[in-house]
Amino acid sequence: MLPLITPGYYAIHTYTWLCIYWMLAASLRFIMLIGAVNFAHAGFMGIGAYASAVLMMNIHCSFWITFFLGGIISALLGLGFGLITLRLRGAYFFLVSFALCEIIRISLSSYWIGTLGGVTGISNVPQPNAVLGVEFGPDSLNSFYLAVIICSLVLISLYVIENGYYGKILKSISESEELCQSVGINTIKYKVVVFVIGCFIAGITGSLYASLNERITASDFTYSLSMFILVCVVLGGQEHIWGSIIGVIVLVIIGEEARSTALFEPIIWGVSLMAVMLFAPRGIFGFVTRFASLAMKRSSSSLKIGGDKQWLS
Amino acid sequence: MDTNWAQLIIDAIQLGVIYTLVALGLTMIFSIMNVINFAHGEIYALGGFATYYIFLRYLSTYLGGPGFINYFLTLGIVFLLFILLGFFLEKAIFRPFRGNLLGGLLVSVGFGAALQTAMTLTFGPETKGVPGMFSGRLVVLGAAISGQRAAVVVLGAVIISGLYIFLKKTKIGIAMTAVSQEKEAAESLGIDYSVMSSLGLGIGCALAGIAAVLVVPVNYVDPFVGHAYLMKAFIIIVIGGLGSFVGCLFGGFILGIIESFGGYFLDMPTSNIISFSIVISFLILRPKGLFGREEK
Repeated sequence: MLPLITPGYYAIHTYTWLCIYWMLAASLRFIMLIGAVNFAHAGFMGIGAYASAVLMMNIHCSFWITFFLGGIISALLGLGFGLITLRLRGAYFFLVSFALCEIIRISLSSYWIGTLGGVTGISNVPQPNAVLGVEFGPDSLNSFYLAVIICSLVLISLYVIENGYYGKILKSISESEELCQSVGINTIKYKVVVFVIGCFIAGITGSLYASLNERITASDFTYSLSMFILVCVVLGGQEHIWGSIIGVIVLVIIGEEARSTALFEPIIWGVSLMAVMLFAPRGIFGFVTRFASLAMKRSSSSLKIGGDKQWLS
Repeated sequence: MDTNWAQLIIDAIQLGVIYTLVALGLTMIFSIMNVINFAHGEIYALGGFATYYIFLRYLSTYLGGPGFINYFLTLGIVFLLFILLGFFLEKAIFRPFRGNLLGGLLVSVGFGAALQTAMTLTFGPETKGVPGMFSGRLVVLGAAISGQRAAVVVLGAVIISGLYIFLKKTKIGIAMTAVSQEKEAAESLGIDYSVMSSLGLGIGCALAGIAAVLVVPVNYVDPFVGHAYLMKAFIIIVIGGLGSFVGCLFGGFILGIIESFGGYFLDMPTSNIISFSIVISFLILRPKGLFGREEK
């Protein structure tokens, strides 16, 4: 683990990847604020990634444009999908998002093979174009800074939205949707907006990933990735955006450590997950703040796992 | 090339029966405990390995020689073993998550990953198969079907019917149905939810295990087959409705048709997309599935 603290290729590489995961986790958690567990989150990332790569390679668009276009295309798909499915209840939405993730994966690997590369995907994705003399290469320091800046902007934006007036409405919707509707709030509209924002962020994360990783395949964006991010969010604690950040760090560390005992890695992962769910269901952040809230007699958030009947019901 | 419609339909039925069994297990677990058991596929795979070891062990040691008796004994043993497995899992892992969809989902994900690795370490990652014992071929309406596959259909149908009778006619079955529909009302009538919960998971696991017993002589098993079956179960459950028996049957049949006809007329990716698109369409048009019940 020491390499993570000392500067060098390994540290830069890992931290860049942390930024990618942080953006995914924070945006997934954002969507979960309205009670929807989006199992297709990785799929939306994939759409952004492929869109960005294809646009850059086929019409020689600048990364700085395709970066946002990737997000917009994902957001549009999210809009269509969300309008149709967000009125479904928890388990059904979860299953249908699973279906969507698979549809995206199959489509990306089986159709338009000339452009999308089929199963082998796209290689040699162009890097972000140089700006003001600043060059971006794979695993370069500048790319790392770029990832950090984008990630910070995303996290700060999500935090601001969540803690502002908008966020309060979202919290009410997640606690009692019917009550909100009865006072005239168009809950579907809010849910769709939140979902679209989450998909947009997943999309731009994908665009960034495509360039930083230099190659993408459809199997990079399966429901396994969605599940991994979901675990990060829950394990870290859903109540606060810091939970997602912590969760990613913990899971990546566990992943790195477990890799040394390669065969046992999934067992360690699986058992750790079970242990956390059984003993600390509110995640690490929840575990830590439990003492704080006891001390300050604050009421606990409705987002806790297992407490609220409305949650995914 | 003439299309052998009967062949396609027979294949559809055969696929449908197996998928339905797995889906029934999953929907039963959901309707009693309100949990989507993401480890269901791994339990199916475990059933496949159980078949391999029990059946071959019986072959070599006790009763000698492959035979019908061995096979049916294997069926019964796996059934009982997996009911016990379900009881154990419910008490060990799932109890705190009854009614907690997200929590139960994640804990089953963890369990599934651990189980899959445990199976890989214990049994090895290679595929394993079991010799079929029903020989011969039947010809039904111009479609050829091997004896073993016919056995799959017949046995599967018997099991499904048995489950239906259990749920509708026996006291315990009716109690389970009651719990799945109106948990509080059932409890107020004296039904013990904990027992029902354990039994629900037990039967759910048993169904997955039995499906594997039926499939392994025809196909193979390795530690990684689980997820494919889990996905099929998801599709069926969404089409048919979470918590609906008849819906599972219907969904299983539809999925069998899609895969059988789709694999023949189209290519696999497209038929997969059709399956998933139908899922989405159903959820749009009839969110509760064709026969689904209202969720609490």
